Amino acid sequence: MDLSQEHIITEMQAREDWMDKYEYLISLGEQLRPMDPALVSEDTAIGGCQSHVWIAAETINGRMRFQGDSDAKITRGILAVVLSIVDGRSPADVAGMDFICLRKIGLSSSLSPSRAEGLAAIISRVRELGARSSSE
Amino acid sequence: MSIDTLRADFPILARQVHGKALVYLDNAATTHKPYSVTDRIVAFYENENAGINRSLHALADEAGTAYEAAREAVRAYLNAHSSSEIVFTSGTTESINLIAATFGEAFVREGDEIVVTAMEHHANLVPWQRLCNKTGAVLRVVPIDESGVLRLDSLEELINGRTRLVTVTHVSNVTGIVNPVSEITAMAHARDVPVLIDGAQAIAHHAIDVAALDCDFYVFSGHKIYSAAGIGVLYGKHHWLDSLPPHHSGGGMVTSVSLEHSHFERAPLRFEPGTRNVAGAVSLEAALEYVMALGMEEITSHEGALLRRLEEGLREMKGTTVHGEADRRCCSLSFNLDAAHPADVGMVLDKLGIAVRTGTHCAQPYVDAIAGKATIRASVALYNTRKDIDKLLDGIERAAVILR
Ligand SMILES: Cc1ncc(COP(=O)(O)O)c(C=O)c1O
Repeated sequence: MDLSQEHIITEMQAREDWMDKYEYLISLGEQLRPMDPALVSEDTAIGGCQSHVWIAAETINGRMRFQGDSDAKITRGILAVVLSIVDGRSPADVAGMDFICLRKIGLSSSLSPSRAEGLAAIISRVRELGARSSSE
Repeated sequence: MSIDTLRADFPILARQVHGKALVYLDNAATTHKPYSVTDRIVAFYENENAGINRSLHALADEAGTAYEAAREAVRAYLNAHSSSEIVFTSGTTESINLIAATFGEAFVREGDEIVVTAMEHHANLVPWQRLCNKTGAVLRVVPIDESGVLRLDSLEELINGRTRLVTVTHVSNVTGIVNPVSEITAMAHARDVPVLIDGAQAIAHHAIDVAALDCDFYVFSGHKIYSAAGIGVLYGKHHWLDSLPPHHSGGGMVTSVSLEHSHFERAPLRFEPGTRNVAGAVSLEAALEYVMALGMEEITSHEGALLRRLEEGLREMKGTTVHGEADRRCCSLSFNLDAAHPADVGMVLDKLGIAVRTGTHCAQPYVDAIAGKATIRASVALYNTRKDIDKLLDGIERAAVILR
């Protein structure tokens, strides 16, 4: 499955009904690379979501590689979108990522910290991982 | 009165969310306000606004009169003996904390016992845990059975000579199960133990008669019964309130103050320091009037029919679990789509315009015991319709397909 940003935006915009968008997001979540079970821990867990979410990253040759998982399907799909945006980028890029494209797919209205999706918490963890890696 | 004309009293119900007509089924969290309530708030600020119990001018007098009239309205609504038994607080949470602090200071010592239940909202659990930690008292917990119902046989055993207070919710904010609070009060009183009832989830759905209940304290929040947030009530029998020390201290709760000493007002003023939320109090009066004009019996039966329809619909649906089993439920019903995460279900319903709550509902021990995981909670109010319930049931079916 094509996980490029442009493709995701096109696919999301092609679907008018939110039920179709969710089905697409869920299918993206199913494509998410399985997370190494050893990385599922308190350290990688994100608070502020109603579902469990974990994100881990490592930096290889200056490029960040992300893994993540969630026990909720839609959240895993949203996680897949977020990680597709930052995966393979430099730590500085990740730390400063504005995630404006999330607005194009209608997810930015979910950015308030209290939303069940936990998108705001996911984004702030991703940026933090970028900042941590660039200061190493 | 027809439901349609009644719904027109609540402007927010005409809203759309995500391009869909709003179906609001999160009334256990907070209720919406009829025009009569918001109009009353505006009228107060436009005509009567003043600090009360301080100044001698006309506005202060009118605002003070309005505040005391609201207190009298609450007294009448609860069938309390005297309006001096009605303390205005900011809500249920403050009311319970006030009792935990002042009753604790006056009557709870090391080795004493406080009886709570396994069904409580955190607001009626955590203050008692803290009191016990501070004083060395012991928290005793009435367990639930596998239907999610309180085990009264255990309550009987838990009350003993060291018990200082029994505190229990009138209605569960998770399963909507109605507790036999009269019976519980009688059991406690047989051992001379006072009883506090958390009425947050009962007040808007049930006629409340504190004289008939004979409870010692009854607490609720205005925002759960169609009034503004930030106003709530602590009812306490006169002799109890008068025997408690002040909680917060400041202006308006003292009769005389020197630099060394203060003499405190009697209840309720003793518990009402600082500038009061008069707009909140008069909005609560307007809300109680609205409810009384419709008739609480009518409301209880209308809402009961909606909850029964929802429960039937959910039980007919494959792959769903309704939590708790009881003859009488009030306001709330908790359930799960067995194969789906409740957060996912909540997100799907939201995009369909349907507002429910997902999570552990500030009653984590109870939710853990009856469901073992987060749940979906739907909760009704007087303005909900059969169509709302049908839309929810449809929405759950759609969620089941998408999240299969
Ligand atoms: C049973 C119960 N007790 C206490 C509370 C706390 O009420 P408030 O947040 O208005 O203080 C609630 C509110 O959800 C409740 O349902």
